[in-house]
Amino acid sequence: VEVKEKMKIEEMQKNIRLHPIWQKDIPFGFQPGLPMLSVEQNKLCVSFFIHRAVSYPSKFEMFPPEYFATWVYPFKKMVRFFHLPFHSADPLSVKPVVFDLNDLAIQSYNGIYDECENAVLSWLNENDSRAVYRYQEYFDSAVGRLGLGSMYDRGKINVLYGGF
Amino acid sequence: LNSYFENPDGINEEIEQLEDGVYVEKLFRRATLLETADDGDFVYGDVSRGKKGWFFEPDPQRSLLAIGMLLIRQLAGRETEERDIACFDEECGVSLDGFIETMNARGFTIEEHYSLSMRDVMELLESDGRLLCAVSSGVLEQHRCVGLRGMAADCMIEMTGLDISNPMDIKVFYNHVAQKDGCGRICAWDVFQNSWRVSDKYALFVTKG
Repeated sequence: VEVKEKMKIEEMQKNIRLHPIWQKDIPFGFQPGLPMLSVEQNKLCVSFFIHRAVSYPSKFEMFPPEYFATWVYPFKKMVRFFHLPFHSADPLSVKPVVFDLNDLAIQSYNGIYDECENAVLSWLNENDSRAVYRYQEYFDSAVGRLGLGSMYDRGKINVLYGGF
Repeated sequence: LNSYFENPDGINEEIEQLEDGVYVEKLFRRATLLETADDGDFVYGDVSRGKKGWFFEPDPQRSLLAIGMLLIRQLAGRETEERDIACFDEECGVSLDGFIETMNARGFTIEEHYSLSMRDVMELLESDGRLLCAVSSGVLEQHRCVGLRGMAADCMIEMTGLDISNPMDIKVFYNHVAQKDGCGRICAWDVFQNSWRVSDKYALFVTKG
């Protein structure tokens, strides 16, 4: 049995940025936000808000998302892409969020990526969708701690864009 | 020296390992560089490059756009406006393809590069063209976001020179249109690498003609 190795989030993001739609349509400087894992059509998917983010010496500002896109593992094929202001009559209306980059916030933020990598690995090796659901629960609580709960409201995202 | 410069992939792997704590290896490599650099040129590129007509663009999101306008001004002697840049969006800036398309239409040739090694950088700096690097401005400024995972490049800067006269403290010269005093800035190679690595060391090499 082939054991898959952990896919680093950086590799995932690299695949995403190399996508032709990204190169052609996404303004330079926009970045994928936090990874939202889901299982759709029995396939592992990751969705990202795509938005601007600005760094200050000890703060980090995330602007409201401009795009929403979903990729299927190994995250080279895009299966969903929305330019949000043009997508819905009732778009996810959020304000920019600024959070202090204290140790706790950095730990919470990075914890999301660590858990995402673990969930992807569990899915690949055990085909275990429970790992993805556990990640979603972890995600909800971590974004809440970071003050990003309104931007990453999973219920709303599901209704508006599907998947998550 | 050759083993240091010739194999970009190998170098990158080694540098990754170094940052995980293999510090002795790093010292050894730098010492090798010092011995060989004694009779060579210490500064690659032209650090005064890009100063003519330089301007400040306060929004880092529009750095690529601003650099495009600056290069057209400096290399082609023409003024251009934002609306002339393809795919320009008032709010967001310009996509990479939009930038390349616009520059091509104005007679510039653009090569895209990934995973450039220090030797590659030296060669490009000595060539007749301009080297633009996609970096994270927060990491470059050594903000606390250095500790965050998943950072992406948010800014395009022009690297103008590399000073290896002190191999223990290699300096990078660059112009940063999104910084008020951004023309002729200097930082340590290690800091620069960290900010550049977020884009997998993506660079554009722009030549006229």
